[in-house]
Amino acid sequence: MMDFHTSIPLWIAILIIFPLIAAIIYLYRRIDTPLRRSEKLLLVFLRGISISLVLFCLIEPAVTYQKRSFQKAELAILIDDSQSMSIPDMDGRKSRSSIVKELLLRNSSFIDELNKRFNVQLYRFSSQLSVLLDEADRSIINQLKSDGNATDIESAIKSVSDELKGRPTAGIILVSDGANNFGKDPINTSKHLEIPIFTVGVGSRETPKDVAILNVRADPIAYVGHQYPIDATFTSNGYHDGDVRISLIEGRTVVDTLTVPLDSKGHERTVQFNHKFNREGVFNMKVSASILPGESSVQNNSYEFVVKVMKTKINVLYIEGALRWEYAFSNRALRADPDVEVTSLIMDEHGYYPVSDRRSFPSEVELSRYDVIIIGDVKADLLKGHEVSSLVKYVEEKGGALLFLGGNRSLGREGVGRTALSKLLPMEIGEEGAGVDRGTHNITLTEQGYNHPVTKLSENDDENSAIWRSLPPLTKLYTSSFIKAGAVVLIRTQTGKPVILFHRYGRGIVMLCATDELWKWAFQGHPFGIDDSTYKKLLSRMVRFLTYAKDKADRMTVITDKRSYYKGERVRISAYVYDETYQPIKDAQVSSRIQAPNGSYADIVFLSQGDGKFVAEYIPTNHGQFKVTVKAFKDNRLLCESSTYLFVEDVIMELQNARLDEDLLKEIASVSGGKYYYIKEAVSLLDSIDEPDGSVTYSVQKSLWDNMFVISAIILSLTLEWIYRKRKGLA
Amino acid sequence: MDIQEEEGVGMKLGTLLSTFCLTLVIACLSFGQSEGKFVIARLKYGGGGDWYNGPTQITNLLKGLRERTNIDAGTKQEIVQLTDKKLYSYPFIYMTGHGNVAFSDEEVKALRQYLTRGGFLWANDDYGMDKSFRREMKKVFPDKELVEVPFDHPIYHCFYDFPNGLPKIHEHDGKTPKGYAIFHEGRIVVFYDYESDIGNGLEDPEVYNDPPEKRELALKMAINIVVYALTH
Repeated sequence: MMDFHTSIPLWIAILIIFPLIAAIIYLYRRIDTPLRRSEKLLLVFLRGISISLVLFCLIEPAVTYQKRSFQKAELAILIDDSQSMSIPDMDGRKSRSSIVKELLLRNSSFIDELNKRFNVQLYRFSSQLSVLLDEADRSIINQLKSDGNATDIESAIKSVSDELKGRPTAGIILVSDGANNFGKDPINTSKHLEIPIFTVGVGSRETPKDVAILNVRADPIAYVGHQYPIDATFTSNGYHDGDVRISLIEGRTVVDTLTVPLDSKGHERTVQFNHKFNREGVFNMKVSASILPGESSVQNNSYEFVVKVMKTKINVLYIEGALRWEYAFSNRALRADPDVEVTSLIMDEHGYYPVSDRRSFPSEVELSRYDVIIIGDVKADLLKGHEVSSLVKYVEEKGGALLFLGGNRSLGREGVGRTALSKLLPMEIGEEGAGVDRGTHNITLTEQGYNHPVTKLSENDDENSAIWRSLPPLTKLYTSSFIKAGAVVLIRTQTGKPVILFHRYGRGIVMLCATDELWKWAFQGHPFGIDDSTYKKLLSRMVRFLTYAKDKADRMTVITDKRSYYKGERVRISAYVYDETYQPIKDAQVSSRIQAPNGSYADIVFLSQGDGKFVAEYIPTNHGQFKVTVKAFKDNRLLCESSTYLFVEDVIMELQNARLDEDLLKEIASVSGGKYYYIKEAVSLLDSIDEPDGSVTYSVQKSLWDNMFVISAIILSLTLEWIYRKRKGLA
Repeated sequence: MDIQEEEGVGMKLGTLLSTFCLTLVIACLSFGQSEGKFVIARLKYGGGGDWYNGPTQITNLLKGLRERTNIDAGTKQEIVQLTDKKLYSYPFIYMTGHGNVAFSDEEVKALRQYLTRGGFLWANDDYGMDKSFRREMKKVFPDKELVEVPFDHPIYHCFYDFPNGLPKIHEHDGKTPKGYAIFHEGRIVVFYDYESDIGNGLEDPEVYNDPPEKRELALKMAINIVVYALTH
């Protein structure tokens, strides 16, 4: 079917041509030279033709029609070019990459057959995707270097599928060891691509002999003279008997060694060290497993981390106005922490309880000696005016830290909302007290809670999320009409109500738990399958965070998503920037200088995420302790700065857990409608790839005026008219 | 031919309304009683002993807590078994009786878990419970003993002072009253009063006609036990 169209409407062209023809006729009728009628008609005709053709050109007529052509379907071959492909675990110490080159790329029958049937495009990928083209000085094989520092399968297949959109595609061949360690879940993306993916697995199928330290859990802060527990998780594969020695190293000194029997099944196991530091400082620590004969990789035999050792215990004053389970469990948890010294002050309208550690309210000087003051369920009238003032001063002027553990009395009508303490709270509580929301409230981490030192109960993000999801729901919340600007919510309900939040006030910091049911996380956790260590850890972290946050009542907080990284692993750095009144600043210019252990440094710029949060990414290529110094500017004026440390292990991320992952590759193939082959059988996939209908229908537009025929006709008619006029004496 | 009368609309509405009102009343009662308040649950156990003895003990103790302390105590006792899921809604449980106490294997395991997770059991020998109670507690904690609590222990001084330990409320065998406890991580998790009978001292005055000073001592010691559980 054809469509005819012009640049201006046809009726306008008709409106122009008829008057022009009429004018020509009129002019030729009026000439003095005697001409026969037929001669005049000829001249009118010739002039009319030329003018009509010019007008024809001016309206730019064109036709559009459909055309169908047949072409070969596209086939993309993605070859993993990351560092794990250099592992020599094939056929007597050949590298994975060399096997790929040998069996596929140098195998002309394989490639030729594919080229006959499809339009084949080769790519290499690791953390990024790039096309492989045969060049005059560098063949495709020589362009594969196995030097990528990460493996991001999802990004590779998504990029290729975007390129192939709109073209008939036979499929994607993915050649990899499946050691995916970066980016999104490739299985989920493969499911929705509508392109079959044929995966080819490369790597030894035998369980390599290896002992690996997978993870170390240890508090970032320790105290002189106190037990410091360190949990190290490790696996062993390929060894059926014998032992491995796992050592704890402080600096360069081995301080403890445990001998553990080997388990050939690769189960993860945890050992615990209990160490004591005898001086303050920042210590580089390492957990290291002895190297066993025949290990495939020795770079994963150790795990390094940093710990800051402080001199004194954290002093906590716990003011309670109503004995309740929230007090019982929190008091118990804090007193079980060897680095925390709790002083209780339990009172009612009759005075102080005999069981209370103190029988009088501390003076201002005494208050300032406490690192954290916890206020429980205290009615307003239990605190005298000067006691309230001293608490406010403790936070506002002295930079102290308060933790409010919500209760009926403290947050009710007769609570702190009626006192100056209300201005310290991170949410608005008026004289009428907080609202009470009863129901079943399942809790979740907020975006800031994911990486916050209080709520990051595991270095593994998935495990951390699972811990929080597994906690019993709350049945009572204290609510407010609004959260104060600058408040950071760490935990909320799934309907968005804040549960644990904090903000800076004056020089200090105030945290609020808007429920009196946290104790259920200690006591009721068991039927849900968790023990009370989560609750104890949370309380300890709250107290520690409040202690350190108050020590540097900075207007900037800098945190990294983890404490330890591998070489080549992306580090995500977040900086939270506040003004003098501790409101978040959205329009600061934030940058960082990251100093590597070898003295070199990198300058990076942060991007604003809104609400005072700025983020940046950095990929370390050295190992050791890095110092990250972040500065915020506005109008070229320095607003604030802060620093933190991160540790990079002398292990290349790509070489950690780099075993052939056939399960992943099989799943990718299965969900996408493809098939999996081990590299030795890869040639068989030639029979599995269907050739889809390669015909393509497309539109063609052809202009009718832009050609030699029309131009020639215009010139011819004008020329003939001129010749005839000359002969008749009219020119 | 049987003729069946259909229930009229009025009858149906009446039934529905009554059920609704009854449900509402029950809901209000339970809501008003225990929502967020300190509540003591009485332990219902097997073995034939009269676990239910002394129905006014707990309610009188709760009243005393409301009047004399800052504890926001409820008004009625709850009843719970060791295998109930709601056990973990009550970190403080009370048991008493004259007769045999017997826990199933499941209950033994449940009680151990409950106590080590932070729960507290106050056991009151009503006269006759001693032998079986000790036997059953040995199953719960084979590795721990019921040890006599020294007079200087905080449980005797945390609210009221008992310099000589437990008060003697009822005669029983005429022996000196003793307080025994099982400790876990330094905390009393089971407190057992023997030859004292604090529980009976909490009963309404007309039940045993105990002298007021005995009843006062019983209430004070019971308050101490609760205050201890909430502060340790």
